[in-house]
Amino acid sequence: MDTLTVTTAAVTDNQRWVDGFAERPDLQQGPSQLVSFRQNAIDKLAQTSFPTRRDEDWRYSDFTRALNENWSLQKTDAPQVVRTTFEIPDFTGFVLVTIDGEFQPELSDTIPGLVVGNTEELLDDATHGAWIAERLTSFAADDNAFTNLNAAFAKTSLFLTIGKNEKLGKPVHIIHFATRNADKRFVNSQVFVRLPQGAELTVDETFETLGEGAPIFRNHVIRGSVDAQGRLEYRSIQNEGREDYHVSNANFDQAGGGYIDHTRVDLGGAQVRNNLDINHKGAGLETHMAGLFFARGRQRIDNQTFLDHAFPHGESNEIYKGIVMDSAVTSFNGKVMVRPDAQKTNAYQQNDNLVIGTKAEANAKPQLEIFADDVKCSHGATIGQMDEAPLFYLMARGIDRGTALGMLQRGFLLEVLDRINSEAVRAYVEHLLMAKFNEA
Amino acid sequence: MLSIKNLHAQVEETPILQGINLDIKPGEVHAIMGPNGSGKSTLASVLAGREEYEVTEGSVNFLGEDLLDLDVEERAQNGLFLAFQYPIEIPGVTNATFLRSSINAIRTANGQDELNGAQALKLIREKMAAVEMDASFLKRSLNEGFSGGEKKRNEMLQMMLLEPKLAILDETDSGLDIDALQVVAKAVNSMRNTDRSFLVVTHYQRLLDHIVPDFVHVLYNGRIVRSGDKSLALELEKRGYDWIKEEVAAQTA
Ligand SMILES: Nc1ncnc2c1ncn2[C@@H]1O[C@H](COP(=O)(O)OP(=O)(O)OP(=O)(O)O)[C@@H](O)[C@H]1O
Ligand SMILES: [Mg+2]
Repeated sequence: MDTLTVTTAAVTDNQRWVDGFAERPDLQQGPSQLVSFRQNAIDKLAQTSFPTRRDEDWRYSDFTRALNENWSLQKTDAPQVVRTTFEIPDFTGFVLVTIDGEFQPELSDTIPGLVVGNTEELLDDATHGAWIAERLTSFAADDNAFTNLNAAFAKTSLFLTIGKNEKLGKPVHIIHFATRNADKRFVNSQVFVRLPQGAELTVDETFETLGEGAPIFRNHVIRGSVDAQGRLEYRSIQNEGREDYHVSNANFDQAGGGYIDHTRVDLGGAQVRNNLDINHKGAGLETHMAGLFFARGRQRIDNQTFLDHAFPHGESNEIYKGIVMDSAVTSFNGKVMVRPDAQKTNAYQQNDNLVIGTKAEANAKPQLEIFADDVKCSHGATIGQMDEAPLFYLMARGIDRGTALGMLQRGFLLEVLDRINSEAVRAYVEHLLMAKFNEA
Repeated sequence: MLSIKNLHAQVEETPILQGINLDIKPGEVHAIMGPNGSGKSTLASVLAGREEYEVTEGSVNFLGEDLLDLDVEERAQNGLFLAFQYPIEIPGVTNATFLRSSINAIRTANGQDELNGAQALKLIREKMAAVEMDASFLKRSLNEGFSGGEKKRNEMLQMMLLEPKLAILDETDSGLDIDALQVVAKAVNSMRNTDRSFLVVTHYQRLLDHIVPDFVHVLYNGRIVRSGDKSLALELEKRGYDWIKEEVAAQTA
């Protein structure tokens, strides 16, 4: 009897997702190319285990328990969306909306100068079809069950691009909604961003939920490319509910002379894992990666970044700062590869953690692998406690402990906040942060 | 104003204050002198509410309330101010934000309306001029990279903004150039009135030429071993502490 139970469990691991796929006839519809991408992805998933803590790269992110919950993969009707409620105050840009992974043109702004569409329609596009297909194909090759799963369930995903040497002049805010209902829902969402040569674009992403109900497991993927002299500013602000799960997988190809500036903010979620990969495809480029995270209660927030310097004269600058308190756990693993050809690389990485209380845990793992000899690389990681002396100083000036703590915590994160180039987005992040500081 | 009775305090089982008695009435200026390590800063910290120091005996009454019963911020809100011997550097918190938060924390606790950004800034600039601080210090992180003298000026700025009822100055004069010393003296003297008291910890008579005290006390081994008027400071300046140490030794022998 025992043996039988164990065997069944091992199979159901991924069989559940395969069954869920079979119960979604809509996934068999659409362009045949897309249908076969989905099929390839689900076939791959059937053979790929979800990572566990035994996988070095996932040591602090075992989702086994979360995944074993009874997640529904069914579609559901979204309630009416009052978009303004979810917009960033004073944001002077354009807004695009997805719901449960599907692009919603009627809820989105029309943006002159920007090509916005969904992957289903654009697969046949003369200019962009091949680019999209290349990325969709890659999902089935990934040894990552999360991206396999994401690709299998992808429908009309958002694709945006802009003309060569063009810039919009205003940022684009993508609001990704997930719909709650009585079931625990597993929601896959995808975004594709393509910047041709000399193009400039700023994208802000936020994640929201619609309606009331059970927790959401969001499995998000973003794929992008920045060609020569292209400039992408991309911020992702995650403030999901405290019962929700969030896995994100961002992957960018960056051509020589290209520029990427990414900021990631994580405040919400029961358990969060972000993968960020940036692949250098040419010489003389510049990459900035910043992260800010604050975990409390029983939250787990895990960031893993991978920067691949493969060509000469590359510059990278990475700073992740986080606060962890109560019984929360955070981790940062920053891999930077400097390949033999990547001479004259400048790679800087810093990860600072502030641990408050005795039960909270921060893990820092800088990981520089340098195979070129004429490079400037530095990295540092700190894990520190909140000092009593500054707290006392502020309180001795009449400021209550809670406010004083908030001021010091904000001060600790300031370096990353300062890197947010948009006033409105920065104010929004600060607002979310303050609200979280003030939680009991 | 402040009444300290038989105050004993220790840090990690080591007794430091060993029976302090001190009464400060409204409008008075008291100076405390004494050799290094005698407990002057400890006394100041205990009054401000630093948790590291455990009060084992005695009582402190401040404006009719049991001071030792109050939280750190409540003491400040009730009008107690400590100018730190070593002001703390706080990266990431601008001086301007800090000053405004502090002013408003004290105002709200005392039932006054908060000052808005512009009002606070106007007040802060006015007082900065009085302590001869450049406006550029507003944007900088609190005390971060400030020189010793600049930190002390910033303490004086806070004192002027918060208008305490009792200001404790812990060696605000040490490390100051002659001009800065004048600035501190001017700040204190401009605030002297019949309702406000000062407790000035110093090693040097020269500050007391400018801030003329009503009483001078000598703290030694955690006790006030001698009190007098301003002439005591002059005598200490001439004779040092040996004669006092000898007197104490003779008494305890
Ligand atoms: N946190 C602490 N831990 C251990 N010892 C302490 C602590 N704080 C004070 N002390 C000790 O208590 C004694 C009194 O220190 P305190 O700083 O009050 O002296 P002080 O009179 O202010 O000296 P100074 O004139 O040098 O400023 C010293 O021996 C000091 O080492
Ligand atoms: Mg001292």
